[in-house]
Amino acid sequence: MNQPLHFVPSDEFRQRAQAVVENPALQKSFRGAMDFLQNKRLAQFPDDVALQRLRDLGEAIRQYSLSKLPDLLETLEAKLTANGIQVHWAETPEDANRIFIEIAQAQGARAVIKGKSMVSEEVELNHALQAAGIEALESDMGEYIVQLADEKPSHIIMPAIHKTKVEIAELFAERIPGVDYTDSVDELIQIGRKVLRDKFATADIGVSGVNLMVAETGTLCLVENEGNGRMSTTVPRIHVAITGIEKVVEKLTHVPPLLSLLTRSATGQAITTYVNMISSPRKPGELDGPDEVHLILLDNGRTQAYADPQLRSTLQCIRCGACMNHCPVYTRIGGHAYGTTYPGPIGKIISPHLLGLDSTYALATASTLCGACAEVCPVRIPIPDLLIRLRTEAYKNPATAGEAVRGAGSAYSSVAMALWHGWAATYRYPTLYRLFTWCASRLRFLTPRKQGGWTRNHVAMQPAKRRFRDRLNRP
Amino acid sequence: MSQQAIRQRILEKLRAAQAAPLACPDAEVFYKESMEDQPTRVERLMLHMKNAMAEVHRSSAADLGSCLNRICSDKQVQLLAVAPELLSDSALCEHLSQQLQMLPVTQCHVDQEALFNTVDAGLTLTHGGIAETGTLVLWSGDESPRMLSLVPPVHIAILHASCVVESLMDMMIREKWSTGLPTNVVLISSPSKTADIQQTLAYGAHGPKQLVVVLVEDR
Ligand code: SF4
Repeated sequence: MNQPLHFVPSDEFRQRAQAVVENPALQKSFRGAMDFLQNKRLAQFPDDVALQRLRDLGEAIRQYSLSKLPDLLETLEAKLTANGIQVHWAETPEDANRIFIEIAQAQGARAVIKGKSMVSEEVELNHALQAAGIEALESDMGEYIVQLADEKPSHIIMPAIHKTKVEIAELFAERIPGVDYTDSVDELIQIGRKVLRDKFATADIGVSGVNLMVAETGTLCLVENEGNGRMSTTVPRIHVAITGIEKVVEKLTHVPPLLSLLTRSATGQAITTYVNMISSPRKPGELDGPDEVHLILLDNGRTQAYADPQLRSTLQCIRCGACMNHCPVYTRIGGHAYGTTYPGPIGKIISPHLLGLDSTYALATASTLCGACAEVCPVRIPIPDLLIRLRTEAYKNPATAGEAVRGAGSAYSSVAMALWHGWAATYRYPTLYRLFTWCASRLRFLTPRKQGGWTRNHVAMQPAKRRFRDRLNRP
Repeated sequence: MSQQAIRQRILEKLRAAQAAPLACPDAEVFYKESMEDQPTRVERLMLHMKNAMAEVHRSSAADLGSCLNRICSDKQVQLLAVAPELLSDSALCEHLSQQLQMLPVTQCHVDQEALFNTVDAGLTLTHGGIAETGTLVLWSGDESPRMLSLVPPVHIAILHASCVVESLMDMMIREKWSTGLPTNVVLISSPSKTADIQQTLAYGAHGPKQLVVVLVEDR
């Protein structure tokens, strides 16, 4: 069980990243997009003192919620059930997909319209539905574009951020029947609107993610700008929401601060166009709304992160994407290079729990630990500390690595470890250090020209002719 | 594994790792009530909404019918879907029907076709407004269907000035939302929009292209 869905070998990560770095057009468009998002966020937080206070509150709410997670999930389930929403639990992506397909088949559903949901990407729901003969169409404009191009989202908030207007114009003209080339953004959006409207009206099931779940009232909160989330959760006869188990808060009054942090950090909006709070299916007497509402709660490695006191903070995340918008690595390599559903800093710290450290440890090493992510994270997740921890886990001796993270010790190399031990000893014992430097300065002609990763971007290192200590003694 | 077994496993894993619960943070104290008077607060809401590309109008309760008629003729609305909650206001309806074709909403929800294809605008009441962010709050109910503010290309919302509060937190506490919520609460702060193509803002993504707020000054 818990088989990783996609194995992402680390050398491919390097190659993919390299390819993006060498593409000036992509460099320019990522830089532009990230500058845009950074500035919009900044404009929403003019008062730093107020921002820090709000972040304190956001962090406290998330930590409090996690400290009561099993209790809150039970309360939530009881409340939702009383409200008429059916709750399902999934430990693995396969579980989630199976539950979804069972719901669909019980209703004879053939067509599914999807609002934006990263968790549905995480479990590769579209794939599973296709295999079961059910059509699944993305309705968020960004997701729709990405699906049309047979790609995956490259950003958790703006899925098509890697595409330019012209590329999208060409894509529409090529893939949507009866559409002529236009690069007017307004016209392109209207084309998308028209195609998707018909689908909303005829789909059997609407799918959505969830931004926050409220235990005390049994409420699902969704934020969005386009209205496709409202469409997906209002028009079709059945609404299925899918989300991770960590997204629950206890009280309704815990929602406004998190909401405010989320929308301002994500897209620099004081509030999104729509905030949609769903507490039940259509009641008798009501004129519209789905007859059935289902919630699928997904574990998929989250319990592993929860079990470790330090790694637990990973689950504080409210998926705003600010960490990737401010990450110098993400800005240069874009979202696809990571090869995981969640890219950027949040992807580096959550993916090892979803997929195992064996296939994802390279991500944790692709960081300068500059700390920009932790500085903007609205719920103060100490991302650099977690990256160091994951690196440590990955390079541990597998024999003694323990069970905190699946795949721990997978980057271990006995040769490298021996070298590091030697290095440490050299610096610990002065005699050894002197002997080493004496030998190094005499045998400097033996230094190899190729020095692994170093010489890829730097001139080869060589010990000096005379040691520093010798020059100090006899200038 | 059965559903029940999966649920049990997840909860057990979490329980095994659970430490002592932390103290519950008090989010309410964070939101102080502002000392502003009601008219200033309403002005702030209207300004925010205008900046977010909503169209704002003001009317007295008595003039509401003619104000709505003006808006509809300006937007060339011919077929208007009116929320049932407004139909009890016979004076208003009479006024509107002089000029417009009004769709009986009970019927149009059975006939989704009309709502998606022929209705020009949806007219709804609002539960209240939030000054801090310039937001309309809509509660669903028997008389307040959800699609009228979503499916037609124009959404016209009537907001009573006395229902404007400072913040979402304020409204939640005053009205004791935690004791029970309707099927759907939706907060609306602008016409439907997207910036998914090269960060360029475009309106009318999937919801209404135009949002019209009619502020009714109660006295
Ligand atoms: S880790 Fe923090 S900054 Fe990154 S998406 Fe999550 S909440 Fe946002």
